[in-house]
Amino acid sequence: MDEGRPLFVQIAEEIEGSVLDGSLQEEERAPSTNELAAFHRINPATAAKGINLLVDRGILVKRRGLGMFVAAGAAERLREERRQQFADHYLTPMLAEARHIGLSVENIIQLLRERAQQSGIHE
Amino acid sequence: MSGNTAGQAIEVRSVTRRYKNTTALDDVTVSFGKDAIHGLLGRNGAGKTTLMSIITAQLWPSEGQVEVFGQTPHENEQVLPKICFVREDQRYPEDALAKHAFKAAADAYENWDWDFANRLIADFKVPQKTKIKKMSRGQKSAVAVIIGLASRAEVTFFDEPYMGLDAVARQLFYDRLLEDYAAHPRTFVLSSHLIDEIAHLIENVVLIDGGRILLDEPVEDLRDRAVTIVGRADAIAEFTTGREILHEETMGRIARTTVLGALTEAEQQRVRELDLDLQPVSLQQLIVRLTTRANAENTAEVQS
Amino acid sequence: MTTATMQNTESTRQRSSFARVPAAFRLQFMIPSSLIWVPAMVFALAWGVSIGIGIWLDALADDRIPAEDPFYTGASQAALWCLAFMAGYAGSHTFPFSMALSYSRRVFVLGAGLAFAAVSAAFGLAFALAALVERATNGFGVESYTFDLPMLTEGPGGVASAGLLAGLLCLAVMLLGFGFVILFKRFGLMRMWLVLIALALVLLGVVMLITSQGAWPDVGRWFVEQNALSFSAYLAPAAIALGVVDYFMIRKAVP
Repeated sequence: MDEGRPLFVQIAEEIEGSVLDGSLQEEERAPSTNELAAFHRINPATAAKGINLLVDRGILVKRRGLGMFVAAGAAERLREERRQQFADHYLTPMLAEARHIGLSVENIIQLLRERAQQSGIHE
Repeated sequence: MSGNTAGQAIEVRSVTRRYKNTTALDDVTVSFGKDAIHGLLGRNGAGKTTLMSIITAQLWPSEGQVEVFGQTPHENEQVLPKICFVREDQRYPEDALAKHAFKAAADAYENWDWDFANRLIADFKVPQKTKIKKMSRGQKSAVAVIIGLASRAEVTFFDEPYMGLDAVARQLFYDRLLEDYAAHPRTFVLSSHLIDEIAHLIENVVLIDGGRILLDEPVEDLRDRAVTIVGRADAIAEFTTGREILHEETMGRIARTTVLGALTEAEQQRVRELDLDLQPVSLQQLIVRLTTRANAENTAEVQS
Repeated sequence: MTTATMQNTESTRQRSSFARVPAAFRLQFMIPSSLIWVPAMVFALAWGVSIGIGIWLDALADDRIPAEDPFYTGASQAALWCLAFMAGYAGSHTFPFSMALSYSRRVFVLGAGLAFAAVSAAFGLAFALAALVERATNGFGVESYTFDLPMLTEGPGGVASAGLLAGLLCLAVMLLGFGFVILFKRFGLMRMWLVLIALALVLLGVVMLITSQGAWPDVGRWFVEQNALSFSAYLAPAAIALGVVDYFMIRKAVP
């Protein structure tokens, strides 16, 4: 675990990651507070806080007596969220660095095209 | 699971404890929520053991009151059987073997779990035929830890539980503690002078220094208590004007400054404009900084 | 709601403040060697050695007529001092452990007192039985007596009174051994010695008073007039007083 950021946020992000990459399917039971606590060796209250973060955002739903389940449409919702954050998380720092080293927007677009072709993302 | 909703297990109000020439606790007011794992942090000699001894009625305060589940624990058999505090350097009856100590503990605590105890005895490889006083420090720690866990007392104290335990045994202790806490929620207080050891286990931090409480809050809130800014010294100086500085280091024209309090959105924006870097402050660093600050203030008080 | 109420009554359920006294009693026998096997061995060993010496001396002295010249030994004390020592350990070692197990001082001291009483009763019984054995065997054939001492066993009540006295003496000595350790814990080494010196001075004062009054013959006569039963009558309140002193000392003692 990364020391800097709140643990419960990291727990939530880890579950999000599982939902996004499909290792945790929609309608599937999510790990319980105690499972998370035991696996990561953290206080169950911290794990619960991470889960609650996802419940508040509608990614997980509680089924009384059964536990936490991945909400229907959760993966798509997460993808949509991440698309919205893409510019903030990746483009803003890239532009800041570009300004530092004197890359123009044209240069960046050129680089982006080259890289995209290499990694097989087509326009 | 959250300790905040379940009420308080322990209330300490204005407790002062004086020894002949020293004040071990100075007007301490603090509470420990029910069914949570608390960390009692502080340097050696800060007053951790004195505070735990007073809460468990092994000592009593010079002034002030202590309540455990709403009752004064001193000589109170209504509440004492719910408390367990085996010290790391606990004294045992002469010639006692580990099994003797466990039997006595089983007799004293109605919730004692022999299955759990036997599992822990095997896990920690507690020697069967060695007298406790002849055991290594780690083995003695293991005996203390096993009594603390298997007693299933509603309020359990561990005094620097990792002392003497090797890395494997420590991890074992933390794992078993969390497992059993999940299955049987109850109140734990772990004292430590190293927060990194227990940061992930605990829900709340109580920081004590020089017999005073410096800090009492949820671990997760602590992460926002301070931030370190790295960059050009003049830019940092401009940015940190008016903020409380916990720590400052410079190297040529580069400075690394830790300030108290979280940054607002506008401030974070300003940090980016000034081209400064933000670094999270680890809990250990924060504790060290806060303790150092308190000591500096005390020195200032004495001098003025 | 119902669960909450039930839990609430559960946690505030009144229990007797003395509920753990039996456990505190058993705590003293946690290691059976300390209050049972070691003292029993000392008892048997001291007795055995005394008998051995008696037989040996009898064999050496050809012209001895045992019935006219019985041997009396003081070996019956050995187990007593051993038990006083073990009671001290209960104060120095078992007391801190009992605090770790969250016994109240009251429950701990009651458990310890009861344990001492039980051990003392056993010692008194053993004393009386041993005296009977000696009487039945004529001092193992060589008129060697460790327990059947005339000054103890020939008063009213006979051997039973001697057993009673031995038991009470044992209890007093154990409470004294325990008490001194608690005294030390409560007040520190300095003040413990002050108490010891004060006691010695009081004793010295009494001796001087008797000497100055020329009252030694009266004192001697008084002792001669006593028997095991009358001694017991003096010792019983003394033992109780010691127990009370121990109780009040430990209530504010730090492990």
